[in-house]
Amino acid sequence: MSAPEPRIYAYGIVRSHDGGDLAASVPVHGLHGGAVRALACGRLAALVSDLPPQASAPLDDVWRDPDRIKSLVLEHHRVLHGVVLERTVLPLRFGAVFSDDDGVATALAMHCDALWEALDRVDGAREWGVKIFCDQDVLLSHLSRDTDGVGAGPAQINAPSAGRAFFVRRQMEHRVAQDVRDSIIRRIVESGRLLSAAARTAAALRIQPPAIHGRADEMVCNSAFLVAREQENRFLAVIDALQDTSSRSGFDYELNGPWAPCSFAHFSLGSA
Amino acid sequence: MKVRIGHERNTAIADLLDRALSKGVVLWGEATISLAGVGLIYVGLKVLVASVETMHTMRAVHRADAPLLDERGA
Repeated sequence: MSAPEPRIYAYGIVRSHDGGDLAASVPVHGLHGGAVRALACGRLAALVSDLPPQASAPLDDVWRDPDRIKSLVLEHHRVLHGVVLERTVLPLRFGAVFSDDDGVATALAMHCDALWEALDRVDGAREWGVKIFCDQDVLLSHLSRDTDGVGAGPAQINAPSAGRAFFVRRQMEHRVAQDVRDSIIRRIVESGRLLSAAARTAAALRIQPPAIHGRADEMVCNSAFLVAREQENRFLAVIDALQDTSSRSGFDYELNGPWAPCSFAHFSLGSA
Repeated sequence: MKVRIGHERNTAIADLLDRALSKGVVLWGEATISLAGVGLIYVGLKVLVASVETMHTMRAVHRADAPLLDERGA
């Protein structure tokens, strides 16, 4: 085999002056129990752990085993989570493997400026996820209570002819659906505006299907916010306020985090 | 406490996978595991967490998933 054997797993990048006391504050073990250490190269340090030889040999087999991969991804997350509680970290995507320390150092040196700038963007901030759910039945009854526009009176349905009644009914159903959709969009935009005011930046995430979120209501928005630590209380207060003002109209907010700023470190640095 | 913290197990794992496998910096080294391989794992895990029928939902939702939020994130 000509490909180098993968022996070092990398989790994320920190500033080297941040990585020095890693052992003291984040005594975590990484994939396959390897001790996590900071591998410094100039201004930057990669958080890495050694992969045991037996782990690297059947790596291709590991990739085909979902349970095994899931536990490895959990390890990857656990390390990043431990680090982000204490310091700024630029998370690497799962699967960054190097043949040795020199390989890591070479990659850091090659992309030093880009990594440093990316660290600047997430400096002192953590990622929070916010999902908005909507119970459309509740929203619908809320809309028909509050306005005349939705669920218009039965008088209109008592049109002269059956054909006319059908047409009016279809028109109203269409209008109701449009009103519901407009309300949801307004809620999403307004939430994004208020939450963004307490955040450094925001990113849209993929909506999850019911089989994943397991709720009866519908997920209408899934987003991530990069929030400076000193703004976190304000950010959380905004969500509480949003929940307060919108629960009676069928909306519900779900918070997750804090995460390493994965959604805000979303780019690829190619090899030479 | 008004806003519930999402910690239902499947949801938490899905949130985690979405981040660990599709976000974060891709730093290529001389032995970096091929992303094609990682993509396959992701598909495998998704099938594990979601059932086949919901993959259709996921696709439909994804198509309708307009960028309503200001996407300034890198």
